[in-house]
Amino acid sequence: MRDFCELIVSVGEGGGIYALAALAYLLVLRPTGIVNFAIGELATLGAFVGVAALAWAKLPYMVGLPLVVFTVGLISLLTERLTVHRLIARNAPVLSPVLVLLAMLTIYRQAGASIFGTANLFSPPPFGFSRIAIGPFAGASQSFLIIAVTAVVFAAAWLFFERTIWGKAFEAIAIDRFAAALMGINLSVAIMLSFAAGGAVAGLAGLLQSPLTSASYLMGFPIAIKGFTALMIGGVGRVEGALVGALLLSLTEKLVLRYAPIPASYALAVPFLLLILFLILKPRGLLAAGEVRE
Amino acid sequence: MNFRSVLVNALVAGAFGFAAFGASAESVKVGIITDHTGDAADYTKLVEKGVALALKEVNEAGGVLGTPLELVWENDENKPPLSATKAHKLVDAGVPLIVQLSASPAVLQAESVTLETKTPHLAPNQSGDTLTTKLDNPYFFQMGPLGSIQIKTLMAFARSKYKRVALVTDNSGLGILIKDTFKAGLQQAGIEIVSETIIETGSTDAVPQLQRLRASNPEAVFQASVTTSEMALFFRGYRQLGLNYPVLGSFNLSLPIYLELLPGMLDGVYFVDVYDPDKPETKAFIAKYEKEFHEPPYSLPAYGYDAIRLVADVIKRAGSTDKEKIREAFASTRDFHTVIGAKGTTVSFSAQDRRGFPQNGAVVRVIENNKHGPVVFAGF
Repeated sequence: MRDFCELIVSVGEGGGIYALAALAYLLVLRPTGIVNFAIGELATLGAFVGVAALAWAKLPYMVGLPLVVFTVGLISLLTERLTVHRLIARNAPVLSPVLVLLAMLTIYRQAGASIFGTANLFSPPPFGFSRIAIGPFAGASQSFLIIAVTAVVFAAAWLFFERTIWGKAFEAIAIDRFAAALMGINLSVAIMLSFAAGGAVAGLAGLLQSPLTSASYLMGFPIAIKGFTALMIGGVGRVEGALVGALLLSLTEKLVLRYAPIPASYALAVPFLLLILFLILKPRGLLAAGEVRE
Repeated sequence: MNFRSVLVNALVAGAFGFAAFGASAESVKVGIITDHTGDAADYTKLVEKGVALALKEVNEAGGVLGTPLELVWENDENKPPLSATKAHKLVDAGVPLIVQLSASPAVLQAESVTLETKTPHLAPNQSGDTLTTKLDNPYFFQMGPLGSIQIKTLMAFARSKYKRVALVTDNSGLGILIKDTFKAGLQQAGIEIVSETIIETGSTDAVPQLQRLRASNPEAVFQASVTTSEMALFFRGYRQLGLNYPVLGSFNLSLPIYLELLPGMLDGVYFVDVYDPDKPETKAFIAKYEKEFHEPPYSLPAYGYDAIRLVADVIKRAGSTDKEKIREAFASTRDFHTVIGAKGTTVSFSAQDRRGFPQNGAVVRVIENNKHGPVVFAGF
């Protein structure tokens, strides 16, 4: 029982990071149809900005966290304005912005490596490396912080999409972009804000993970893969889908690693087998937008 | 030429008072293949610090054959195909000898060129066990500590203490290779492996793996990881869960980065190393290195330092830059005193055995007070 409760905290922590990455994809994908493959590298930039703010400049966490979110959000916004926006304005094929963002992936990574180096950097956790127990559920203080922040971010995202006029505007763009434009919704501003929001959430994921693994210029790729996998499992239609998919992915991973009587190397493949299974059985994911609206 | 090459040449210029590149005086040029921009760059840049120190020392003492020793740098990005290209480039430029700092797969590829062109080739820091046997290249000499020697020493240390152990690694190629080597060594030593876990690259924590390890109730844990993030995850989780089995690690734990990333979490951890701070040659090296770089050295710079000193010694004994004479001088190296290796050990080569690192040269050390502590076991 002790192991299982500890594992649940681990599931929440891993699921939190995957969920934030999945949400970062979703925020861009829904209004634009563009898969932003640079999400992982934006998370890495978030980790690096966190190192600079918290470890080097020794800013308080309550200052450093918003600074990271703002900085990475701004980088993503500027990327959109300088590259994606121009392609959309010129009616470029759908694949063009995707390819540009793939190129930005390399640019972000090399920029990060050039500025911060290729060696891992210490990223200080706000509550130290202490262990917390809430009833039978015990884990690192950073794990509980990740769970709490993820819950807040998803609650905010849900409220935004379900209860605000801008959220409805994003939803309208996702359903029919041209109709939304005809209704007076400013597509350009909406897309710009979606990139900013996606970048900000990705940066937050990187900042939260880096105290556990240290900040590294190669940390973005696994975050990108797991986030995308979580999104495919949960479905691209709803914010809740990103969270459900991420938790399911994390749960499967951790349960297999802990309990499955198979060699460790095979256990690593199980989440991806799960993805294949989901794509075959439920190609629109667990919570497809169409099903929810019915 | 990049910044690091400029730095090394600047140190040489400081010794001679003229620009080392574009120098008007003659010099003996030796090729050096390294990784400045690839995945081994973090490793090689530390080895190069030792190279720079030794080069300065050699040239302050008069160089080789009465002229300065100069290095001709090539960056192979630790990519085997590029490594072969760079070896060709150096040979075409007329260097009589190549030193290579990049990893074993790149070295193996360059060996095909040095064999074909009959160019002496030194690998001072690589631990691949088959570099001198996969390709029968009489011009290739390996001074790096073989993985098999390191494992033998670690197993000899463990055999007397533990009967049931857990094995942990990451899923990188080198991590799996070291894990398999550990496994073979443990089985040969008659030690039972009660659990085997892998921490995947990109994991957010290692709790499931550590719980599995805890459930197997080992007497000790063998840690074969080489990727920094996953090693950090392991030790943070290890301390979080309050585990206190002895941990024994590979040479990877001799890197100071872990002491920075995991302050206070590594005390009591054993690791295999090839560097004994108590060895007289090492003490002398430490004094010079600290004076030059204002930081303590460890094994990586020592590889580079030994490499250039050996190159200078070989060229002096060859009496010329003729490749055959250099090869013969390498093959007749006996008891060359190095920083690397346990106290009392030296490096020797022969035409039949071109692996110079001594069989009893590896040591086991312990981390104490967040520092790499003393040797607790040497040889096997």
